[in-house]
Amino acid sequence: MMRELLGRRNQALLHHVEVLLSTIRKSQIPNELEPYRAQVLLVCESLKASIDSNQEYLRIEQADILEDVLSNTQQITQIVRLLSSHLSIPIFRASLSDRLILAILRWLHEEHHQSRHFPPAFASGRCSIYLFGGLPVYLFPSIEQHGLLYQPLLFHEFGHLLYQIHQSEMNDLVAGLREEILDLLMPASQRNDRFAEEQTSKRQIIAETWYSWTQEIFCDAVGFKLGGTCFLYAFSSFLSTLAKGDFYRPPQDLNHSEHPVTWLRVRFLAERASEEGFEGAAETVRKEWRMIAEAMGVVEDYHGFYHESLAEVIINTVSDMLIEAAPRTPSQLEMAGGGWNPDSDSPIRLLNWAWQVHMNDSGRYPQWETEQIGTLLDYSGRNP
Amino acid sequence: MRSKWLVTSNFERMHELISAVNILSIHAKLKVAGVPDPTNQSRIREAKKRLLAFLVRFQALILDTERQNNRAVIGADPQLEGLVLRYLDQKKRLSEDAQPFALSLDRLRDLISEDTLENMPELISSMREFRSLFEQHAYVDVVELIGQM
Repeated sequence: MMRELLGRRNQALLHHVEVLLSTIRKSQIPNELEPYRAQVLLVCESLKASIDSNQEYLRIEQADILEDVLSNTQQITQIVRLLSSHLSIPIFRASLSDRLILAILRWLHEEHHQSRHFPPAFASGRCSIYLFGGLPVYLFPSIEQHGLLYQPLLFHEFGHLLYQIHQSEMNDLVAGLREEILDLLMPASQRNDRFAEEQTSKRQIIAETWYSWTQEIFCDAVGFKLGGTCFLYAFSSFLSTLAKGDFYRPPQDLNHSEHPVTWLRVRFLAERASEEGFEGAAETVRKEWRMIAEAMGVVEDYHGFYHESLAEVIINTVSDMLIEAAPRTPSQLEMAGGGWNPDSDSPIRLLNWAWQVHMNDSGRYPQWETEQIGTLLDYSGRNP
Repeated sequence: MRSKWLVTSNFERMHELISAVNILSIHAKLKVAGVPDPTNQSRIREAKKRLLAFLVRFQALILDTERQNNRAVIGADPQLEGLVLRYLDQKKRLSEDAQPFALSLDRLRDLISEDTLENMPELISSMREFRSLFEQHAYVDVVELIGQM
C-alpha cells in the first residue's frame, strides 16, 4: 500500500516539475534575468533526478526503506512548493520594468567574486532577501523599484548574502561580540537570589537578540561601504516613517527582535560615515533625526539592550566583519557623484549623483532621472 | 516575524541534512539486506561528508551549552541554537539508556566513517532519530515559507 502511495506521489511530483520546467522555459523575461532562469532550471532538473532515485528505490522490494523514501518525497514536495510559491515568481511575473533593478543587481553580483555564481532576481515586497539553492531573490517595494533614489537599499540586502557566504567566520565574530556584551552587562557584584536569576536571564536575552542586531548593523555598514552617501541618504529617508517606533520600542518589542531600534542604526551608520570622512552628510542625517525626536519628545532608552559602553566593541566587530566579507570599495570619483558615464563609471557614481540632483534641484529631478535610467538600460541592453 | 533569509537558510540546511540522512539510511539498510544500492557512490560520500561536518560543529555547540548549564548557545545562529536546545531537551527527557540519542556523537561519527556491516543496525537507528529531530526542527520554517491553507 505504502509503496503504491509513494509511487503515485512521486509520479504527481514529476508532473509538477515538468509543468514548472515547461512554463519557466516559455516565460518572456528580460535578458538580465536569463542567468537566474538557467539556475532555476538546474534546480528543477535536480528535483527530477531525485524523483527518479525515489522511483528506483521503490522498485527494490525492500520494505524497511519505505520510511526513507517517504522522507525524500516529503523533501521534494516542499521544494517543489517553494519553487512554485517563491523562486519562480521573479520569472513568471517578470516585466520590462524589472530591468533597472536587475541591471544594478547584476553589476553588484559580478563585481564580487563571492557572489558571481549566484544569479540575482527580485520580486515586489518589503525590502529583504532570501537564498535557496544558489538562488538569491531580493524583495523590493513596488514604487521604489522604478527610481534611482532607493536602489542603494539593495546593498544592505547584499550584505545578508555576504554574511551567508562567510557564515562560519561571521558567526564566530558575532559569538565573540555576544560574549563581550554578556561581560559588559555583568554587574560588578552578584547577588545570589531570584533577582540575580532574573538579571542573568535578561542578559541572556539581550545577548541572543544581538545576533540579529549585529547582522543588521553589519549589513548597514556594507551598504555604506558599497554606496557611500547615497546609501546613507536612502537609508535615512526610507526608514524614517516619522513614527515614535523609529526612536523607541518597549522592552517586550525588543526581546529577540530582528532589527535594532532604527535610531540606533542611524547613529551607527552616521558614525561610520563620519569616520570615513563624510562628516557633512553624517551631520545632516543626525540633525534630521534629532529634530524629529525632539518634536516627539522622545527620550533615548533601549532598556538595557544598548548602552554607550557597548558602542566600541560593536563598531570594532562590524569592522572585522567587513574585512572578512570584503565588499567592493568604491573610488573617490564614484563617491563624489556629480556626473556619470556608463562606459567608464559604475552605477555607484550615478546613484550618488541622483541624491545630489534630488537634494539640490528636486523640481528637475524626475525628468533627469528618466533620462539617466534610459541611458543605464541602453548600456545594459548593449552589454548582456 | 523572523527574517526570510534566516528561515530559508535554515530550511535549506535542514533539507541538506535530511537528504544526507536518507541516503545513508537507505545505504545501510540495503547493505544489511545484501541488496545492491543503486545510489551513486559520490552521493554517498557527499552525504557522509556533510553529516560529519555538521556533527563536528553540533558537538562543539552542545559541549559549550552544557558547560553553561544549558543557558546559551553563543556560537551559532538562532536556528542552530534552537536545534541544539531541542536535542538536549529530548536527551534529558529520557533516561540515559533509552532512545533517542542514547549513542554518543563521537560514536555516531565513527559509525558514519567506518561503514562496516556490524555497525549498520546502530547507524540505521541513529539516522532515524536524527531525521525525526531535523524534520521537527524544520517544520516551523516549512510552514512559514510554504504555509498552510
